[in-house]
Amino acid sequence: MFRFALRIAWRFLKTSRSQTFLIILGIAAGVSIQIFLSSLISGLQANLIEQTVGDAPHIIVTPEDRTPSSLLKSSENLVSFILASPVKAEPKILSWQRIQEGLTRRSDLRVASPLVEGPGNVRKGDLTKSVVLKGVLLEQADLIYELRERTIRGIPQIGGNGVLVGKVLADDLQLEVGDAITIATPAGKNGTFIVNGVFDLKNKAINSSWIFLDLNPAQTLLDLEGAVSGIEIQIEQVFQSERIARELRQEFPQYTIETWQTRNQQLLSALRSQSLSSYMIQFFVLLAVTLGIASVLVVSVTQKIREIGILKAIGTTNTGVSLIFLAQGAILGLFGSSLGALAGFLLIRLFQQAARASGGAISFSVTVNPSTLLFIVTIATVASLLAAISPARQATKLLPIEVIRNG
Amino acid sequence: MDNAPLVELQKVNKVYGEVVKYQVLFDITMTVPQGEFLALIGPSGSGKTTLLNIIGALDRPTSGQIFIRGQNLNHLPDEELARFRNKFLGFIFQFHYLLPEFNALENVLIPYWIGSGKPGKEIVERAIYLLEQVGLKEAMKKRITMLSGGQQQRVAIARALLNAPQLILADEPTGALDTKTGEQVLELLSEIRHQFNTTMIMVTHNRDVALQADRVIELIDGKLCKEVYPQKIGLKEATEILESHACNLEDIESTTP
Repeated sequence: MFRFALRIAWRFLKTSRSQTFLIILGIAAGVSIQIFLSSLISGLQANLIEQTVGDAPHIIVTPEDRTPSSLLKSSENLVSFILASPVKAEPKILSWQRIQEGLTRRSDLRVASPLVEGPGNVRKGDLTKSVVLKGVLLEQADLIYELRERTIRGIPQIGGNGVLVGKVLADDLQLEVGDAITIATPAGKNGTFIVNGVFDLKNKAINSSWIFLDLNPAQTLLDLEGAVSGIEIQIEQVFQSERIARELRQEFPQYTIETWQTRNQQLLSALRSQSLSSYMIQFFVLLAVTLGIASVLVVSVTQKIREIGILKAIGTTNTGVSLIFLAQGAILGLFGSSLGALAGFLLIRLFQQAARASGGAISFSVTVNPSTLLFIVTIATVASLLAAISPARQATKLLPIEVIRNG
Repeated sequence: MDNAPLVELQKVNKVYGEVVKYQVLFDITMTVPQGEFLALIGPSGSGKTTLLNIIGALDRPTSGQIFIRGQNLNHLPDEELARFRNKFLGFIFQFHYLLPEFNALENVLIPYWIGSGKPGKEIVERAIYLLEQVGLKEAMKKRITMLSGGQQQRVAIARALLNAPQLILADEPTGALDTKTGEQVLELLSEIRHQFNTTMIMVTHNRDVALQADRVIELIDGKLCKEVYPQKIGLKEATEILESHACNLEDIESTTP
């Protein structure tokens, strides 16, 4: 019965060629817009997220009840607030090696980097400045902060007493590569360090206050011998953070585990409303396409009234007649959306070329996600099928006798 | 005809319209034995086509029973009726009612597609054989729109025969054809009928065509009026009866129409 319906449907569509062609074109236009739009939005969002969290930890493990200051990196005010806050006994993670070991076993984590963090003062000659000390193991911290790439002067090394300072800090203190600086901490410790390099993390607050140094001297300076103040984690899929955090909270209930989402609420709600508006547009495009198909098929029921009457007279059941129209909807949807997928793909290619030609003016890349493509094609086909329901019912109601009687 | 009846109607009434009622058939009771060629005649609006459509399960009676091979059609739901039409009946309409989207051979095969799906080699061969019978083997790959009216009607006949129906229902099969083509089509139907021992009920207003049947029934105003067996009593006498104004069936008052 299904083959029969498909065969009749196919022939019906083939006979009214221009009508079929136009509606397929309509579906294709709608689908290509959907694909282009959703790829554009997801490209844009991926770029925004990459810019926001690409060079920042996604999950931070800290001792209970301590706001990790690095989570507040994007606001100068908050950084100064932290700096201004009274010094108290630093909570710490003693068994960090064990935790880190446990974390590195997970395949969904890219890196787990220990961090010794605290306030300090940097002095060079007469100039002093409050800073945030970041004691790290460069190998691991580099995977988060991309320090090697972002070192704009000198060499990205922090072994022994070498440090990396932010671009703005270097300007403020007139630091050159190779200069010696003195770092003092509220704990009353101090030491002399050599500026190995100057980094630019594209964030003024960070560039003006952060100093990267090796884990060991940082532990000494901040009175955290053998311990760390937190573990910074980057994961493979940024949006898996909440799930992973949940799992980590179960595994390490004695620590506070926070994700990048908690400090980026604004960005997230902006992204959400952007997605929402894109979904709205896509929904209405889909609706227009669906109504288009429905109207064409409804008209075709009237056009094919004679044929349907004959088919019913010679024994086609109501189910069979419905299937003919559903099959028409499915064929239109499948062809239209496949063509639309192709067109959308070409549109994106065109956009990519334009982006390349713009010489960096368009800074984000648009890629076609095959699963998105498949999803949109499927949705469009299903919508076409739904569009065929009303004409199918209409065809069911047609009495063969009406056609026979009226010639 | 001493066979058991293939078709049996008991007090069939048909009323059209919901608000303004218009009765087309009044208490029709009749039987059609297996293998008979029955011609239904009568003036326009006498209800002969309605009667044919009710026998053909295209229309349901307002009251009364209709049995085909003992099966009460009133008891069958629409879907079953459709299947019944497909397997059991062959329709030939005044207008050929072919599907213009398909070629001649495909049109002949459609009843099989509907009922049983993709036809095997045997069925295709049967379709070709039927087209050969109606003299259209050469034209089987032609689009329907490329065929003449007579050729189209012949394709429709081949289509009606594909599922080897026990009952052929023909509504003015020659009505839209010129005399010569009409004669060819009738000859063909007669041949096929003899070959397959098929029962045929044909609606016609052409008396000459009707006189070729085993039995002629005339309807007047939705009632059975006359019944003649031209092959038994001879064409001359049959013609006389048909030309007279008196009904010869009991349930009709012998008033002039």
